[in-house]
Parts: sequence; structure tokens; C-alpha cells
Amino acid sequence: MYYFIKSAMFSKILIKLIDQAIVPAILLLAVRFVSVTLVAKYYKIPIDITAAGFNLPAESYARVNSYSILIMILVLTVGLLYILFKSFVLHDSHISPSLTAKVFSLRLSAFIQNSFDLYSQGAIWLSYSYLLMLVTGLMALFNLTYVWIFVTSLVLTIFSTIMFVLDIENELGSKQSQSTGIEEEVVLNFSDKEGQDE
Amino acid sequence: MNKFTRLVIDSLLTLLLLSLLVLPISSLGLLNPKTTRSFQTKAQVLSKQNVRKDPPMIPEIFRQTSESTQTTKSAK
Repeated sequence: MYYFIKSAMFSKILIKLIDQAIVPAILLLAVRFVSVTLVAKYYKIPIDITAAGFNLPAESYARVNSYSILIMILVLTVGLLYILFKSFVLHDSHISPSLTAKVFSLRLSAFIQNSFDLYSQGAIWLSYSYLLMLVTGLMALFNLTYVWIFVTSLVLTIFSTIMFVLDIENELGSKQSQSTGIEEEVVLNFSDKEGQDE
Repeated sequence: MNKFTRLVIDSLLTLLLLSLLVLPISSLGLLNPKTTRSFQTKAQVLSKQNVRKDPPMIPEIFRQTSESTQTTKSAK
């Protein structure tokens, strides 16, 4: 889809973000449906599926809702950790030469990704994390879920944000040092030689 | 491509992206508590209203006698 629409000169970033958002959206939606059903089955809570959604007894609402959200948070954590691993270890800007050789020998070169791919994925998964934290906070405020679910979501969001910021700083720092190193060398060599000749 | 066309397409793409972001989060609102208690209270209220609206049919003679007894009691 991405390569097909890219040729039509639409906004490259928007297309990439939409492309990256499809899979986690479907995944999280499926996780919500499956987790509600499984948690209700585990606690032997009668549940009705209607056009309006799932109907369950009011006294077990908070329990099913909380554990279902917790499973969603776990799936988000796995996704975010996978992207963080790729951006810290398999980022093409700062991957070590020995690891590059190993990855190529295992024919897994597709795992080495550039900043555009990694940061678009990271932005999408982080957005889901922020949205989930926001909604969980509101639900905890109205006693629709447990407070510790909101705290878990908050910790995940803060941790992943800090890690992404560190990776971006790392990326910017490595680029800046590369560019300034070359300029300094050229300027110093020319000025010294000209001064000695005169 | 025309600038206006590009603007329209970009805004549509932004809407699509936002809807993709909101879609899984909106599934959090799919759970509904069963409102059996509120239905019960509503039914009770409705039944009380019916009692008030449709009183049992008391023959006119009995009603008059009951009224007359009440007046005599109050006179005493």
C-alpha cells in the first residue's frame, strides 16, 4: 500500500503513519474482544454479546474491564519493547559492524531499519500508549477500573517516552559529531598551511 | 497536483489516521453493566403509578356509607 500510494505524491509521512497504524489497530481491537471473553469465561461471569457491546453483571464490571485493559497494556508493552530493541540495537545509524555481519549472515537484514521507519512505528505505538493511559485514567476516576491499571499504563508510557527520547538524542548526537568532525579538519588544515607559506 | 487538492487529500488522510488511532481505544467503551436493578425500580414505580391512576371500582353506595361514617366519627 505504502509504495503504491507513495508514487501519487501524497504526504509521505502521513501515508507511512497510516500504513504503520493499521496492524496495531487491528491487533489491539482483537485483543480487547478476546480478552473480555476470556476473562469473563475464567471468572465464570455470564456475558451477553449484543449490538451495543458486551453486557455483564454490574458487580463484576470493574474486574473484567480492568483485566482486559491489563492484557491490552501487556500487548502494547511487547510492541513498544520490540520497537525500542530495534531502535537501540538494530538502528542502521548506530548498529555495530560485528552485529551487522551477524545479521547479514543469518539473512535477517530486513530487521536493520532506518530512522524514518523506526520513528514512525514508535510514534504510532506511543500514541496508542498515551490514548490508553488517558482513557484508563478517566475510567479509574469514575471507578470503572482499578487505579493500579492506570498506574501501570502511566509507567509504561513514561518509560517508553524516555527511551525514545534517549534514542533520538543518540541519533542526533551521532549525526552532529559526524558533520562537525569533517568541517573542523578541513578548516584547520587550510588555515595552517596558508599561514606558514606567508 | 493542485495545492488545494493536496490539502484536501492530506486532511482526509489525517482523519483516516486519527480514526485508526481512536478505533481500538473506543473499544474500551464496549462493556456495559447489566441494568437489571434500574429496570426493577422503574417497574416498581410504574406499578405504583398504575395503582393511583386506576383505583379499584367501589360501588357508589359503599363509598357514600364510608363517607357518612367518617363524618359521624369526626362529629363525635
